[in-house]
Amino acid sequence: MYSNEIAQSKVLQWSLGALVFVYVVVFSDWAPSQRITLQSLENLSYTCPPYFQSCEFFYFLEALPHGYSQSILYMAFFALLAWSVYLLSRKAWNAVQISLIPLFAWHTSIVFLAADNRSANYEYYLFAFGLILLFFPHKEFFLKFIIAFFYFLSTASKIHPSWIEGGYFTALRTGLPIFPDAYTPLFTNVVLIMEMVGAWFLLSRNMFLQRSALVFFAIFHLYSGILVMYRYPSTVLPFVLILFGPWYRYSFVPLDRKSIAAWIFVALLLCLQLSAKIIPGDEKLTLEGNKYGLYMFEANHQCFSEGRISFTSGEYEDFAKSNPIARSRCQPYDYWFSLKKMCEHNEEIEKIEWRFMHSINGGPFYKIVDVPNACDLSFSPIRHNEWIKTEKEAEIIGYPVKNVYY
Amino acid sequence: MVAQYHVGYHMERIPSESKEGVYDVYVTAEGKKLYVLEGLSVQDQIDSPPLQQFIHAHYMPIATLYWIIFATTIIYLVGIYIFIPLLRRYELY
Repeated sequence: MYSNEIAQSKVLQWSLGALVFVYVVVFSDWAPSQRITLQSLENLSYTCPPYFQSCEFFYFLEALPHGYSQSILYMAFFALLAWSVYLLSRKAWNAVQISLIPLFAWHTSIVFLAADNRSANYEYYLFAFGLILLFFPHKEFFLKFIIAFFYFLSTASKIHPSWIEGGYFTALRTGLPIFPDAYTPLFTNVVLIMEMVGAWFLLSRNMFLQRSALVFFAIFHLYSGILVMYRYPSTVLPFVLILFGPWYRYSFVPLDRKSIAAWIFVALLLCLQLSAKIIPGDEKLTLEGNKYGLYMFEANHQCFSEGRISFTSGEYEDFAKSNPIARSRCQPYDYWFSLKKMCEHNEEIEKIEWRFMHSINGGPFYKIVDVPNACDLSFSPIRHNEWIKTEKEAEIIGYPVKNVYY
Repeated sequence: MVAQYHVGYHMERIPSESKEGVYDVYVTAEGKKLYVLEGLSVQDQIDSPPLQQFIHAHYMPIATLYWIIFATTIIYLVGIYIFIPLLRRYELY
């Protein structure tokens, strides 16, 4: 676990403390949540990841008011976190790492295997920080590198009208915080350039460039927090300040055998980030492969889903649901997953006719799904699903109005 | 509650196409259909500022330029982080 590196580096010691802090933030959010509980399984409100559609195994806990098991688990995690803080104060670095492994394992399992709606981008950051701090060698270099690399990777999803034209924000009722609508594209393009190129100055030997980049990203995180609130800045900003702040020193590039695993991880992140581009259609509209890389503010979403459930008795029930929240990804997969589970759990359902309309960045509402029976469909996580129409195939049914961030 | 009739801007709500509590459909004087989802207002119509219109008109070259910068950055990074250090190690550079 390369604890000796931590023993010799104040930056890594503080980073380990930051990791404990971020786990506290994450689990304080997760502890009372009903998302991954027996109840969400019973009322079919869960969604497995598209590449692991049988995730029911993870749904065994009960949250209040139904039971105590989830609370017990998260209080056990809290005890481990408190124990880690004690070990930090005793400078028992290896013991801290060992104490954090169960938390890392649980967090990773939930984010990548248990639920599609837990795979928020700041969880990807936490996964990478945990992986490097707990397991990889050359921790200081790879922590610094991964932060700059994440900024860079995020631009692959921002090369889109959402950011180049600023369409994400001009389609919001409230627009960008502070900036007037007229200058929105100016702001979004400055961020795009800084994340693509300027982020690498964080690793520079030139202290003027390094400090300038640090100030930019510190302000950027505080500013973006006006929209996204505490979770994202509290995950990333402590690491940015610790690694690139007053203790910053240039780190040499490790190219020994020990570093191979970390470099493979970096290459894998790049491949995953670009994987959505291989799937036909605009991934912001079809949402196929969208979550395999970073997808922060990739598009402003609005959608509605409607259809008819026909029963074997000859009766039927119409359903309709809309989502005007910009940040709430309108994944056809999520809606299909719920319908599919309904079909599997209710033998009296004969078929579900289903239509799904999606608009991004204030653009037209495309009817991207129109199927006679959702129960007959399956979803491939790595290929384009023919039942989801791309922007070239889908019919435009109308236009949206400005929406809200949440 | 979104549903309003004759809200201005020469728009009219189409009751037969609207779904109570889900969305309301309006049609403008130009025949354009607006879907106003529950919680939103038909008054908040989307408009593009001039800079956005300009970028929209030149979107493809700008997006292509960004992809070129993206690819160049990857090549540059692989060069300075992998190839040059390796060449130096084996005293080839």
